[in-house]
Amino acid sequence: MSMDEPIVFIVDDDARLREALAELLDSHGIRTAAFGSASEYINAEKPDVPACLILDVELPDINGLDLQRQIASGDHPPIVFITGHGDIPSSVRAIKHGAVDFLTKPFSDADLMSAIEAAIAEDRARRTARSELRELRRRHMELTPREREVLPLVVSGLLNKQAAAELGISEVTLEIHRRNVMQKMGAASLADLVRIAERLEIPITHSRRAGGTRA
Amino acid sequence: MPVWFRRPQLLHLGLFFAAYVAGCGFAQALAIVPEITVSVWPPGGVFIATLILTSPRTWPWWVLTGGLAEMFAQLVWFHDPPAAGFLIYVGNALGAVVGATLVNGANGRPIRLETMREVLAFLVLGACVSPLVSATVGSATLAWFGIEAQTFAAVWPLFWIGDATGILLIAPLTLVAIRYGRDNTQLTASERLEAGIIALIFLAIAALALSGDYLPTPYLTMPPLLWAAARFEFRGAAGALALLALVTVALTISGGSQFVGDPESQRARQIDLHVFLAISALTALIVAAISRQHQLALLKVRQSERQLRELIDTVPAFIWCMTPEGVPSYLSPLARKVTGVGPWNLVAKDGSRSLAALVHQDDLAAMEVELSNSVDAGRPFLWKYRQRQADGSHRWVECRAEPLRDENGAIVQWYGVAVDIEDVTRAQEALSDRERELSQLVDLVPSHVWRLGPDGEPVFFNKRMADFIGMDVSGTDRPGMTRLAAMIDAVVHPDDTAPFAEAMRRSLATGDPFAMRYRLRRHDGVHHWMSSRAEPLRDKEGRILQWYGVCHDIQDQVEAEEVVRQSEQRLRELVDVVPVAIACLAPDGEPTFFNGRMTELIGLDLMKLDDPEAKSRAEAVIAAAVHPEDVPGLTEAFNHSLATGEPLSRKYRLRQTNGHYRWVDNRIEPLRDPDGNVLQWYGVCVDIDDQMRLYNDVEEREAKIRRLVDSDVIGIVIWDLDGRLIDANDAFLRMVQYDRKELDAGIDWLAMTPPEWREVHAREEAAELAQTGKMQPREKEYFRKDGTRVPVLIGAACFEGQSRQGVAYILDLTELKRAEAALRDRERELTRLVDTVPVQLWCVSPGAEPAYINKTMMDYIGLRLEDFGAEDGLPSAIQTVVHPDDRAALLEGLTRSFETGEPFELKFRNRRWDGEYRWTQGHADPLRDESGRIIRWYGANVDIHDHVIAQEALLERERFLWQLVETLPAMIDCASLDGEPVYRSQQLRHFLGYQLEELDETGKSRLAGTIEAGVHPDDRAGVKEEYARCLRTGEPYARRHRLRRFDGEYRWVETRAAPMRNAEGAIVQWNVICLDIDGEVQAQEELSLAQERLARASQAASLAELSASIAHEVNQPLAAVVANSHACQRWLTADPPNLERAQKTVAHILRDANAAADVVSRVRGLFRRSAGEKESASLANIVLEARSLMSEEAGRRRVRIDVDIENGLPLLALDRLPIQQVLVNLIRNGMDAMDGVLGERVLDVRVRRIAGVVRAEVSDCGEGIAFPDRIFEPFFTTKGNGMGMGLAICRSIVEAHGGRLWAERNEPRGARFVFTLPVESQVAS
Repeated sequence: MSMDEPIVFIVDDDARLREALAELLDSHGIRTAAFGSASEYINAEKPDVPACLILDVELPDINGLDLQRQIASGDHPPIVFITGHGDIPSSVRAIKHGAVDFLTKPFSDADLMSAIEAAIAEDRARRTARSELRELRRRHMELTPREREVLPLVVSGLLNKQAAAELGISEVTLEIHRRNVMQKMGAASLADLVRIAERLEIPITHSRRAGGTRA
Repeated sequence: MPVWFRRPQLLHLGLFFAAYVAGCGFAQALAIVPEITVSVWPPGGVFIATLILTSPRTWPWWVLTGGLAEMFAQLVWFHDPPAAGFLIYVGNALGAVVGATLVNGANGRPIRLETMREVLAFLVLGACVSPLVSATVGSATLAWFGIEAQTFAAVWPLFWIGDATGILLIAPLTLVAIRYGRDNTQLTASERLEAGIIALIFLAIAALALSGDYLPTPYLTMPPLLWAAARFEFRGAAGALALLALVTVALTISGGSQFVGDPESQRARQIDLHVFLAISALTALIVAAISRQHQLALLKVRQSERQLRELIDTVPAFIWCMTPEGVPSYLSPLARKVTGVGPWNLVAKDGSRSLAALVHQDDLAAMEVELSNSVDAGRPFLWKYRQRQADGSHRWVECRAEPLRDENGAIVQWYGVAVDIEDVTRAQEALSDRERELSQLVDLVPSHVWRLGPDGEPVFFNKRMADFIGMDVSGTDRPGMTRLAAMIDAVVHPDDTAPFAEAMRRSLATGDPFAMRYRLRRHDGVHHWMSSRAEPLRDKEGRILQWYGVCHDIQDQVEAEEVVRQSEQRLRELVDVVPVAIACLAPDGEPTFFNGRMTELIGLDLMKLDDPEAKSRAEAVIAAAVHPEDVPGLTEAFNHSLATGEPLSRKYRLRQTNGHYRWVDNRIEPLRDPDGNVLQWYGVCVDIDDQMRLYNDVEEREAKIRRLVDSDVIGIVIWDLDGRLIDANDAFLRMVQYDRKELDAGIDWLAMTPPEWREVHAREEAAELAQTGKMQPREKEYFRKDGTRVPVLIGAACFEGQSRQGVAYILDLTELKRAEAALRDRERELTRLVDTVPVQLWCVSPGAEPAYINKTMMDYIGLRLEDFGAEDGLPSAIQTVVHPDDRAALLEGLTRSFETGEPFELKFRNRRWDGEYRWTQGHADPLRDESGRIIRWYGANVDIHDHVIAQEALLERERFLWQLVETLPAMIDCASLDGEPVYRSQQLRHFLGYQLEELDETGKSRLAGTIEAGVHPDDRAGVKEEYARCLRTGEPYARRHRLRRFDGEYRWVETRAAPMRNAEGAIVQWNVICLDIDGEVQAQEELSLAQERLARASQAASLAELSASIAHEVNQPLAAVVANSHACQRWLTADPPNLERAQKTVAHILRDANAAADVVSRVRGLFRRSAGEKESASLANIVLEARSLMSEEAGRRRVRIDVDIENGLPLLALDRLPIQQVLVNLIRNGMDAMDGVLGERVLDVRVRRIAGVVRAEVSDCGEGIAFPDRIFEPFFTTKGNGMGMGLAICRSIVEAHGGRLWAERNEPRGARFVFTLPVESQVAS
């Protein structure tokens, strides 16, 4: 098993169904980890690999949808809901909150497997994006304080002159800072840098149209 | 022998050979006499000198070498016949050997030729005797061989003198040459010059003199020869002689010599030459020897002088010399150094002596005089003076000088020595100063100080002593006796001489200090007492050097002592003659003095009383002199006194000298100093034996009587009329609380008599006694010691013939009086009690006469006993105070009681003092005597008027209420504590249609009868049970049931009962009200039917939702089945197929499919709403199954399920699955309810059989139920995600089984769901 091999977490209070799902996924050669309740899942040690969470809506401790809401803030694997009696409001809510699929028991093999595959693929993509973002954050952290001041001004679209005036430095100095920022952030062009800034959620505090006359 | 012949060095032998040959040549040259080959024989000199210088052990070599040389010379020059030559040589050798032996024997080896004796020995033995041998042998040889026709006589002289001359000339030269060659003594330049000059002069004179032409005689050569010999000794002599020989030879050879003449005279001349040479040699050698000797002596003198000088210079004393005239000529270097002056400083310019530079000017004149005297007289000089030092200071020196005289006695020199005595002088001065001080001190000491030698001879008296005894130590020098003896004789009082001498002798013998008192004679003949002490002074070895003694004049002290002693003596005599035994004791109790009488009394001498076995003298005295029986008491008292300082006074028996004991009274009192410390104890013993005997007799007699008297409880006193209590027995003393001591001290019985009795006494008793001599017993009182009074009965009588004294008998009346008083008190108290009791008490005689009424009664009726007549008292009393209506009854009751003796009791109205008649309860009881006869009737009246009035009021009210109850439109029932109806209201009676009393005839209890008869059979059990429970617990009762009306119709009634309690809270009665609610019940039933219908309708409406819930139940296993099926399919289609896993999944599929089927059938059963397939099952098993179903979930939710099932439950006919569903549902609900519980989560499941049902309970400890009546409604839920169907379904299931399901509060918290299943249902199927 390679480290990158995906895993499927199953959370269902029915031991029989847990068993059956594990068996099924095992027959598909997919690693699984099953939990009887949301808290067991939360407290469990989970490997850092692409994953998918099969979550029962009716759980003894908390509702599966509530669990989805709880873990929404963190990095969590994409969720495939399963439920004994799927109602429309619940499924809408689940999908709206980012669930990959909402399957009603009993569900077919094909539906489940396609949902799992989609979820794992999505997780892979998310993980890649997260690592890129981490790299960008790291680079951003390596900027000098002055460079960190320069970056938002530049990506806000201010002219060098305006940005220099804003910071009370000469245009030449600003030019140097700007070049350093580009280089350190690995931006090939200003457009690239803007994109990076977006990903880093650097607020664009100045608009060129405002003309730097901010009080 | 090889040792004997030691070969000299060949060089020496060669030199000897050459010298010998040269000598032979020289001899040949001087042989001027024709017929004689040789005149002077130098080889003889060489030979003898060699032998003298060499060891005799080498001599054969020299003789051999000399022989060869002789032979060689014979061949060269002499040409004698060899035999002759050999013989001549033998003679020569023999001569040389003899000469050398003799010289060596005379002078010893090595030859030095320095003294005259050596030179003479050489000359005589070597130069004269030795040639005798050689000349004789040679001459004989010449004569033998007839060589040159020589005769022995003619040749011998020449031969002898020639050999002698040869020896004289050559041997010294040889000796000197060899010796000085060895010495290497160098001559100084001047000596060389002088030697040269002498040699020149000598040569010149020799040449001139010997040539005979210019000087008349050769002897003119003597002066220079002698000069050389004198100046240069042997070297000079030898050298000069050699020169002379050479000159002589030269001249002789040349013929110029005056010894060369014509052949006739040649022989004589030859002899002259020999003589000349011999004399020259002889003279020169002698002079040289003399010179040598002189030189040696001179050398020795110089050497010793130098040593002396060195000695003087190093002697650490000042040494000096003076000329015979007394002028200083020498100062030793030390002296010069120390004083800084030289002898030249001590000589004045005119050459006279001047010592000013050396001697202190104070000493100068005296010393000068003394020194001059010594010098003039030639006396040795001795003087001490201060000598000036180089640094200008002066030091004391002692100077001695003695003259050195020559043989004639003339003074040659003065020699002096000065020794530094500064330190000694200083020390002596210091010593003499100290000694002077000491002697002054000793003289000033205010004692007589004396010193004796080790043998005891006085050597010193100090001045004080000398003044005292009027003589000095020298005064003890008397002929024929020692100083000590003389001193003793002179100054010691005649009476003291013997002990003094003895003590002194002993001290001297032993070295012990001497101490004694004696009388010393003063110079004026008066003797004074002296206290004298002497101690030896010892050196380091302990030998006694001196005795030092001191005498103190103690005359005054002795006189004072004498006075004291005399006065003491007088006192002692006084004390001794006092007719009382006196003793003094030290503060610790030790006897220090017994007076004569005391000593006499006890026959003990205090001074001889140191008994070693007793601890102290006091004990010894006590042990010896006191009667053994008295010893412990006395010892104790004595020790007590010693310890406390209190005086001792004791009587005891003292042993007398004759062995009898006599009683003494011993008093010992302390003498104290101002601080209160005991200084001394004085004791006096008085003989009281006679008194004591008398006393004891009396006492014995008295004791007998006293015992008699004391055995009585009656006090007996002997008194006199003055108030004195002469004696009293113990009984009396106890009575008045005095003791015997106080009695002995004196008690005044008048003082004991209270004042009022004193008057009585004065008025009556005294008179009575005076008249009759007796006093009749009478009661009176005495004061006790503590001031209280004692009542007594006293009778007295005077002694016969004595009107003022008598005996009295006294009886203590205290107890009697006290008893009387107590009785009185009790009576008074009773009276008070009876009077103050708030009950009217009265008493009548058996004859019905009022005897007593108490104060309460008197106050109540306002009359006194006296107000009733003595005759017919009781009727009169009744007439007076009893209500007219009651009089007859009262009288009749009383009369009957009086006749029968039964207690009397009646309520009647009595008239109170204010005229009001009040209800009174009267009682009376008889008092009987021992024989049972009635003595009195005691009665009590109690006013019960208010009570009676109140009771009447109460009755009135009750009657009112009664009527009220009877007329109320409610059915009211009153029951006793045990529930038995005691009253039923009119309404109830009417309803039931029978009277309460009718029930009594049935033989059952009223309650049971009522229930049996009235309550609907269906309700009967519940009513009974509940009613019994309420009766038991006291809880209010409330129940609806159907009750049979009089017309047979059962009507619903609601019966309520509540206990009525008294003030203490105890139940007095049950009040029951029974309401006819039949109409309401009917209405309610209709309502509930409507509700049910409504509920069913709403159930149906929400069936869709319900089906969703069911779908969930089913879908769950279904989903598992589907998933497992897919898995199975995959396992089977896998390559290769995984059959094992497939099989497992198939098993799961079957299981899950069955679960789904179960659910479906369950749901079907639920909706069927009818008892399904009932089977006979055990509820216990179902409960246990349910528990095991839930156990996994319970474990997850941390809930403990406790199951408690009663044994032996009957099997029930039931549908197993729904009942299990119910249990699971209830258990899950319980667990849900406990989700919020923090502590222990316990779910209790109990199954019991109660009456006809099996009752199952599921109790949780959650939050309890807010709406216990609503929770069973369908769709009612308290859970966020519940359907609200569970409990509704459960209830419908339970009810379908004919049971009930309800909820209760659980204690202490939580909810309890209970369902019952009827046992009867077992009957089915």
